[in-house]
Amino acid sequence: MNQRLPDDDAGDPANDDAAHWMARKLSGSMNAEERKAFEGWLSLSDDHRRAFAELEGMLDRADAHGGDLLAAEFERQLTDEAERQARHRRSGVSRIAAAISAAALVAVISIFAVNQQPDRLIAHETEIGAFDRIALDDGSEIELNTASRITVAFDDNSRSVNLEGGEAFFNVETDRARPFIVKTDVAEIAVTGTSFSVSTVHDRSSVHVLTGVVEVTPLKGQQATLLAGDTIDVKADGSATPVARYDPSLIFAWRSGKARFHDERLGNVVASLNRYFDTPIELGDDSLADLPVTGEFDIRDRETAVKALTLIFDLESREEPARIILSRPQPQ
Amino acid sequence: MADVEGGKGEIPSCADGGAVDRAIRRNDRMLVRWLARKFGDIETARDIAQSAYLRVWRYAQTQHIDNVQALIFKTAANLAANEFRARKRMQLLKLDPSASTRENAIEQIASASPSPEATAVAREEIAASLRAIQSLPDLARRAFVLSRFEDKTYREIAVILGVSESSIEKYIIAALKALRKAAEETGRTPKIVHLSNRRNRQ
Repeated sequence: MNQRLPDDDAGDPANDDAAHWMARKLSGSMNAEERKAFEGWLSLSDDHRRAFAELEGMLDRADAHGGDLLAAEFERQLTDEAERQARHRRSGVSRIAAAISAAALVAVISIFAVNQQPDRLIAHETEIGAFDRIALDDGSEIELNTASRITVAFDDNSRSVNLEGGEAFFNVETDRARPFIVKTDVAEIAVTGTSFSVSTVHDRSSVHVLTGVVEVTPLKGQQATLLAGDTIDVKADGSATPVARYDPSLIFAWRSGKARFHDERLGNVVASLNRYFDTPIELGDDSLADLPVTGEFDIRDRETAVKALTLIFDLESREEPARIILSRPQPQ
Repeated sequence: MADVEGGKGEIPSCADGGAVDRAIRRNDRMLVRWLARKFGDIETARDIAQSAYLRVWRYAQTQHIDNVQALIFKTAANLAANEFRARKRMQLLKLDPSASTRENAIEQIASASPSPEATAVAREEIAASLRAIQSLPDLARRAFVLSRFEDKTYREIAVILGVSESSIEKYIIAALKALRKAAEETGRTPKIVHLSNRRNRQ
């Protein structure tokens, strides 16, 4: 019989060790050496094996509630996410004076729009992997990349587009009387007539100018003037990087359904490609992330992309329901 | 249900129908994205969201709902958790041929449908283990659930909860100790009622 004292803290070192090893086992990052040490510990005494098996049994019993516990956690995550969004909208309202927050403007405009001009506020959205081309009343055109959303609000004095997420290319028809303004969470981009793209990924906005002149006002700091071939990044905190040059054949490849990379880390390549794929590609091993990639991929064709990557680097791919894992072949 | 018309002086189906519509519109994009992240698949995400909306909408036809958004989240969370668990079982069964996971798979099936006798024996301990997990401090409970039921690594959990990786390990150890304590306090000291090890009990 195992008569355990209720006071665990004073406790049996075997129980403490078992908890430690179980915690290591659940970490998902136990290496070969640790595993060996763990097996050594197990084989050392019956007491160790007993303590560990007991813990397994207790976890099994907790598993009986897995559905409920998981549902509660999911509910919590959803509530947090909704609160985050609401906070985002609220905090934006106070920043409107500085004309910055896309989310805030959407919130405010929606309120008026519902009452007054429902046809003036139009939202466009693409799903993961989709592409859309939108012709605006003024003759301007917008191309929407994967998983993107914009809200367009035109009136007699201004043309305003809120980029809520994703990436868009703008080909703007000149209208001196009505500046064309693109807003993201962290920057405002004003033009009269030109072509450029704005992307906002992970709360960071990037502007790439293809032709003409673009004024970028970051949430914090100086306004920047960008000419054709210039790019600027505005970070999540609203500060901007210095203006730099970029390669349009890489940056705008998505407009023709491609993703091109020049000497890019595989980790970044996979992250870029995953923007287009419902089922993401993952690297089975961190060391793969540094492999250099140069090449062109079809962003509508995940299978070929995976095949290409496995061929180039001699990798194996394994498909799971929610992801595809690339890894080095196991030596047999 | 039958009592809806019973003179409450309000017509919940109209009022709440509008509230449900508004709540759906306000949250649809966020919810679908969140689900898509969970399942890595936009189709499943839309299916679950639709199914949650439908249930809440039907419910609103007959019942008054104080907080529609909260009910949508709760319903979606339940459906998502069910789907998640079902997929996990399938995945463990079909895809992982390694010995350790095969063992897990068998435990999974076993604990998903234990024999009636095992259920009776373990019911009290199961209830105690739930209380133990629920009374953990917030972060420790979430760390445990994310690790055990969402299969997140400590690094992933650290990112989600915004704490260090080493804290996660501490939380997990705290959770394991709480489980042991609960088991001991139910009197039936961890006597290895291994749900998966039924042969021990026959």
